[in-house]
Amino acid sequence: MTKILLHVEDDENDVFLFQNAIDKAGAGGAVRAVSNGKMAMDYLNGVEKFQDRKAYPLPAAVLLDLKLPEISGLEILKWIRGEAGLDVPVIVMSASHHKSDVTSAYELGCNAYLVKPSDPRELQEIANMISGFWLKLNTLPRESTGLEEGDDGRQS
Amino acid sequence: MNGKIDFMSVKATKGKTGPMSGLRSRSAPVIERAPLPIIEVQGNTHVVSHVNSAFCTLLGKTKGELIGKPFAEIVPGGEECLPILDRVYKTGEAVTHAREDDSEGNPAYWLYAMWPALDEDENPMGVIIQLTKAASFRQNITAINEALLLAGLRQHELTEAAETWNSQLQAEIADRKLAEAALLVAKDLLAGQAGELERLVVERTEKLRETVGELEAFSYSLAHDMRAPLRSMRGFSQSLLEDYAAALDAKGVDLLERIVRSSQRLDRLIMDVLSYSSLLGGHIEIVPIDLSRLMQDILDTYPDWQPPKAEIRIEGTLPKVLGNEAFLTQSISNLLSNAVKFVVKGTLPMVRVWSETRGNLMRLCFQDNGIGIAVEKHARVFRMFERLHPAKDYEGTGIGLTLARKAAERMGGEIGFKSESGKGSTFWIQLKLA
Repeated sequence: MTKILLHVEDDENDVFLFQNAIDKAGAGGAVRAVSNGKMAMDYLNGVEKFQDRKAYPLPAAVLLDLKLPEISGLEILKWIRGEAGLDVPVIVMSASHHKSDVTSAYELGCNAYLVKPSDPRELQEIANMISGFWLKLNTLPRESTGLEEGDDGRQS
Repeated sequence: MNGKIDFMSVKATKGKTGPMSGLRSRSAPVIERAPLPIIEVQGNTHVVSHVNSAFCTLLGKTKGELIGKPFAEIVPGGEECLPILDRVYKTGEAVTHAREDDSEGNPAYWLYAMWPALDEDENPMGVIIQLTKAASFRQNITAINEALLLAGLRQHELTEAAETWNSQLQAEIADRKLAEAALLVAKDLLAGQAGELERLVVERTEKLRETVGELEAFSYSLAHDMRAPLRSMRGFSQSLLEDYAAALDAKGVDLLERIVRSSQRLDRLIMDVLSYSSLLGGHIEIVPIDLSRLMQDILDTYPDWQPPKAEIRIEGTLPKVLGNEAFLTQSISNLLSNAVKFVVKGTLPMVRVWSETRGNLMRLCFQDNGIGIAVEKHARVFRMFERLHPAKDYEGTGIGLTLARKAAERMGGEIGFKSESGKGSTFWIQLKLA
């Protein structure tokens, strides 16, 4: 099953360009895009429009913009780690490289912070790496084999 | 002695009388003893009937020479007195008369006191005249008078002067009082204004801080908001270029490439404006910084400045200076970037870096083997967005040195250079030693 990337971004140009880049990276169908916080929460909860988990599987990673309408990216991040209690990897991708934003994002539990590049070639590199690392290499908890006790005595 | 002499009871006694003893003087005894010159005349012709010794002494004549003569003949100024004598003789009135006499050179002053001599029946029978010559008196009195007059005059002058002075002083005092009052008012005003000024300064400083903060926020968000659509533009043009180049002819591709390059340039300009405005405001922290460590960090960050692309050599040890890490990094990076960039195409950039100490100041010097700066262009070097070479020769927005200098200044330092066309340049940044 292809791993899915949930792209939370309200700027349709950014969505378009990232999609383009992911396509070129060879992970064409892997992106599901939502344009605001409510939709992101619905998707992750698997409710409303996103009930069909076949069409809208739980993502292997979330690509999260910070500047969103109504509910900010940092609030969504807080919700993901807090109320939702999800451990899905969150990659923040923001235009801001302000120290306060970066620090807050990490404090709230993001796994990575990327600054939106102006150079499209850098964006391509990011798409390549996300596809290669987060959608291929990275192992998620739900993918690990659950050993209660045994082999090496470690729990899942 | 009770002072009253009853003439009527005075009888003529045996005394010194002159040869013409027919002129009997009833008053003779009294007259004789008087210390002042007295003369008696009788009848309406006023013939001298008696004179006393004092009178003789006064006129310097003997009795014999005087008695029986007419009054006017022997007495100086006697003629004047005749009418008065007549009056006294007729009315019995006592009269005094005074006469000035300038005849002897020394001004004299004759006093005639005249009163009637009465017979037994109390009818006037003659006149007694007491004569006083007040020569010396007059002189003295005149002198005293004059002295008094002068003194009076002087006193008058002094009084006038004193009064003038007084009114002047009064005026001065009044002026001074006015001045004092004005001064007090001025002091109050000044204190008020000083307070007002201080309040204004506090207010303005606060406003300025606010404005600077607003400006920072403004330029920050402006730059960011401008970069978003720019990102899209670049993304789409790049996509077109990559994916649709085949569908375009050479000219079409060229047009696209120009769009891409322009967008790139615009993005760089926005970044430069952002960098510059971030240098302007805010409080900056000045701390000791190890230049050796900083230089190494910077060189490590830029692979383009490592061999074989460029050779940057640090000579000797670099000292610790007072500065701000971010600002100093910016300054040094820009200087190094220029040193490496502005070389004749194909030349390997070689940069020497060393430090010179001058007292408590230090200069970090960067000498390159680049194209140098012509003397007539030296003035333009630090200007914002000012480029000395066309973009096709050397890329850049022309803000590098502006930023470097601003950053240096904000750390309390300076940037300068020495350069000639074709002979490379030596740029230096001067800071305080830590």
